[in-house]
Amino acid sequence: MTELLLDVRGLAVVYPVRGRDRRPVRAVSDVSLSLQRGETVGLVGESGCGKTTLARALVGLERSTGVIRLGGTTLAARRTRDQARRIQIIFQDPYASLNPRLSVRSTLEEMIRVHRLRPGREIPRRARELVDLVGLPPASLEARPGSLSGGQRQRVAIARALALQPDVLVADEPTTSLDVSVQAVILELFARVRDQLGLALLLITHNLGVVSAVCDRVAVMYLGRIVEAAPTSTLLADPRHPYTRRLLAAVPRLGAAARERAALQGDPPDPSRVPDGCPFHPRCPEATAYCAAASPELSAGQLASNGAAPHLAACHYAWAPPGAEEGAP
Amino acid sequence: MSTPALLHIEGLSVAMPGPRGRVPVVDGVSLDLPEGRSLGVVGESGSGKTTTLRAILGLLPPGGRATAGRVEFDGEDLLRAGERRLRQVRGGQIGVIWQDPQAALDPVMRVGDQIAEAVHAHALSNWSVSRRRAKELMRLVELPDVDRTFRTFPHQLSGGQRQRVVIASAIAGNPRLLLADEPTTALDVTVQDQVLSLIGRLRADLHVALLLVSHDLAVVGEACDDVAVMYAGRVIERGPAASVFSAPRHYYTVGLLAAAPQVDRPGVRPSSIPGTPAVGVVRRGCAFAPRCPAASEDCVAATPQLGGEGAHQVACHHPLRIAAPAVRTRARGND
Amino acid sequence: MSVPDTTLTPLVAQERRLPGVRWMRNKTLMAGSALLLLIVLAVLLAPVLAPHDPNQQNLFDVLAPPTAAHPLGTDDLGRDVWARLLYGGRIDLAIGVSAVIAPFILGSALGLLAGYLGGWVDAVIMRVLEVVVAFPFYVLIIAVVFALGAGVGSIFIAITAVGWVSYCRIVRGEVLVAKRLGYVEAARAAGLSTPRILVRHLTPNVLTQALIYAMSDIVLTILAVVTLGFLGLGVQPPTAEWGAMLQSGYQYLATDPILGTVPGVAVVITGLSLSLIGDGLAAEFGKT
Repeated sequence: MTELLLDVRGLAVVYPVRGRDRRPVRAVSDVSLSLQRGETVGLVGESGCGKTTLARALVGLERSTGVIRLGGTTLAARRTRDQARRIQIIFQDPYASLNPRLSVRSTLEEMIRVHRLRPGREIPRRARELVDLVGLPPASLEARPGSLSGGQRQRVAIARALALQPDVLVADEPTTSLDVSVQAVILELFARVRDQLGLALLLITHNLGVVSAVCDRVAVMYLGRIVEAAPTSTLLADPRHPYTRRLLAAVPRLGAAARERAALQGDPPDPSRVPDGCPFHPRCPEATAYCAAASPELSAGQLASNGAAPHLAACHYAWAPPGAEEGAP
Repeated sequence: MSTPALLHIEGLSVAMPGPRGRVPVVDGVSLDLPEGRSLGVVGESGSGKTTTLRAILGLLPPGGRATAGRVEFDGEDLLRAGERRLRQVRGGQIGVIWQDPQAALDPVMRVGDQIAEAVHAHALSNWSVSRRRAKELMRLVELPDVDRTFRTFPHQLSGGQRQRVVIASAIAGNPRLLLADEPTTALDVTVQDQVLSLIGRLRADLHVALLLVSHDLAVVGEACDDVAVMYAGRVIERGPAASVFSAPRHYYTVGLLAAAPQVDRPGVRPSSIPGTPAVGVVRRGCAFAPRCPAASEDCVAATPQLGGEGAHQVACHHPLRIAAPAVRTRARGND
Repeated sequence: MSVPDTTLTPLVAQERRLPGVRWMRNKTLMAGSALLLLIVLAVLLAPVLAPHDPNQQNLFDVLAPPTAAHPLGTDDLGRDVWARLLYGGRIDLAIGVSAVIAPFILGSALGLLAGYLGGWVDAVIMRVLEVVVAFPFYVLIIAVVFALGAGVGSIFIAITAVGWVSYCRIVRGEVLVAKRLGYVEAARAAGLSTPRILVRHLTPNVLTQALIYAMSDIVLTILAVVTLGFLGLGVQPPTAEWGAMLQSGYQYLATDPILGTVPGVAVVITGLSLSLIGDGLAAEFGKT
């Protein structure tokens, strides 16, 4: 089978005593996911769901508990330089992503040099290769970020990440700040680079259209937890978690039949106030008393067939409707 | 035209200061918005859509100037109105909803007072009447627990609630026209859904016309009756939203539709538009020609003008005649 | 097939010009630099412009009004005021500039560490800073110089011990912002070492504000030197120095105003030139 490049188990990120009630903020709780070579996995959610925190924890920018395994090696709390190299991140804001004082060449060559990925005399050539890989002209090597557009800067950021020859790329809202036509280009670039270099890509976004277009699998996050995960087409066709359903219903569509308006009431919740029981139950129109009491685990509807990824949902009634019996399903 | 449009923009051109003198960013834009209808202006960055909106109320950044054209609101040319008249209109007959609700609200003033202030500026009443009206407006925009929320500060509210406060301020003067500049771009998708519903409901109840500027085609497709597509400072296609989005006639519109990822089409890769976006207004010829598959010599030589039979018009020398493989027409839903 | 982005935006062509060319269009910067250059040239060419020995006393010609031989007259000991002004300027300018270097380096380094490392490092540095800041600037300086004995060496020590705090605060603030920016985090995520991040990525981007402040700090330092000289705690007589000139001159303000005002005017003009340079730099660095 294809190789497992990233394997995360029980990841949690807790910020001590920051919330207004002086309770610790559980930005990420008990998240497990995996990425295989050549896959693009999408991570969606709204403000406060913890997806950005999760991304940062994966590349070592946040302290976390739990197990992160990169291609068989478990990462320690303090990563070695080589371990850090193998999972890289691309940020949302292209205008803050690059050191304004360094030319593109300097930015790229520094990465290659620090990690000793090429002998000294081959470094300039490698820099040219990288710039070529992301579709920029060789002249851009001498440019400073100030001369580049948002889309071009993102390409440079991608080149910088690829300079380290990582196995896994984490992209945190990489196209959100870009125009739609530029977004399409960057997404194409991600796909091409992923195939050409055999990477795994974790794409974090709030845009369900993007997920639908380029992700093989999707995980939906809410208040620090994954509440549903499935192959993309399955999730779109048959969402099992009430939040996922509402999320999908809220997306404006071109040319679709009139959809239900105002799918979900209230605002995305404050991560310092995680309710007892199911984190979604205060806003869930289908919640029962049991939902307020017990927090649901991710469960699979049926055994995955033919090696396809399973469809998991963290809802007591994901696979059996309520009303059959109040209380424990 | 049966009834004159509430907002009639004709040949509007705007120039902004640049490193070497003024640069045109909007060129000859003409739009019409009848009473009670909604018009969406779509485009990417650099298309001039936001500048057009700002020019209507004379809210251009320092150094920016309208260099040609007319902006007629209910017959009156706002470009030639004095600052005092404009101040009367702003927040009064024309309300504005901005993109970032956090930036649009005064952080050291309670939200209730801000709405009351908007009411007060356009009505001859005393403060207690204004405050009562502000609470009514807060109920209208569905803010929870009005009496308590009245006394909160903007930072205590969520993004969606802040935008509701902004909307309440915008309708405080009983406007006939609402201008909205990317009102939901900064919001989560479920909150965006709520806010768009709210705007739609208010529009219908208060019979307010809406000019919505956005880069999100789907939002415009759902919220607007008509749409105008802008590129490099010009309107290159306009007409009923259903028609423009289901049967686009300009190659840029086709490209834009193909580039927008659709939830309903899983696995369909959005395709990009070749070339790089035009920066600023192109003096002569079609700005899109370098990127257009159908470009010919007259595209570079002569600037195409908006033309076509009926309401759906396009500025192109060889517009598409048949429906491009785009999205199906949808029935206008509840709005 | 991915679409390569083969046309860099027109901005690239503009950026190719050397930064020097851009700086020449900055009127404030140019004005300040020109003025400062004038002052520096004047004090450097002191032997040429003022042929008299600044320490040469002539008790037969005290407090003389301006003449051809003595363009600004003589002081209470018959010394040529113009010469003393120019030679004194050398001392004040030299001390002013060099006395800023140490606080700049010390303060910026501490600010960098405090801002980036946070934790107890930040806590310790900030507490020390708060103690120093609690005292009025001049009180501390005078106290240190007094304790160490008057003289140029003591001035340097005093100014360094007190002056580092502004740089520390400025740089720390800039670092707190910069460390959250994408490129710094990308460097961390790429496993770059902390020293490398501090030196290569943070320092060049956070020092600009400190540099601008340094311009006004030179003025403040010159003022401090002049004040100490006026109080007799600075450069010792008979060396010509603006503060000492003010000290000997202020008694005669009613009768011979030139003596007491000319050094002050010199300080003002120097301060003006540095302010203009600071403003000009602020405008330049403000454009990313």
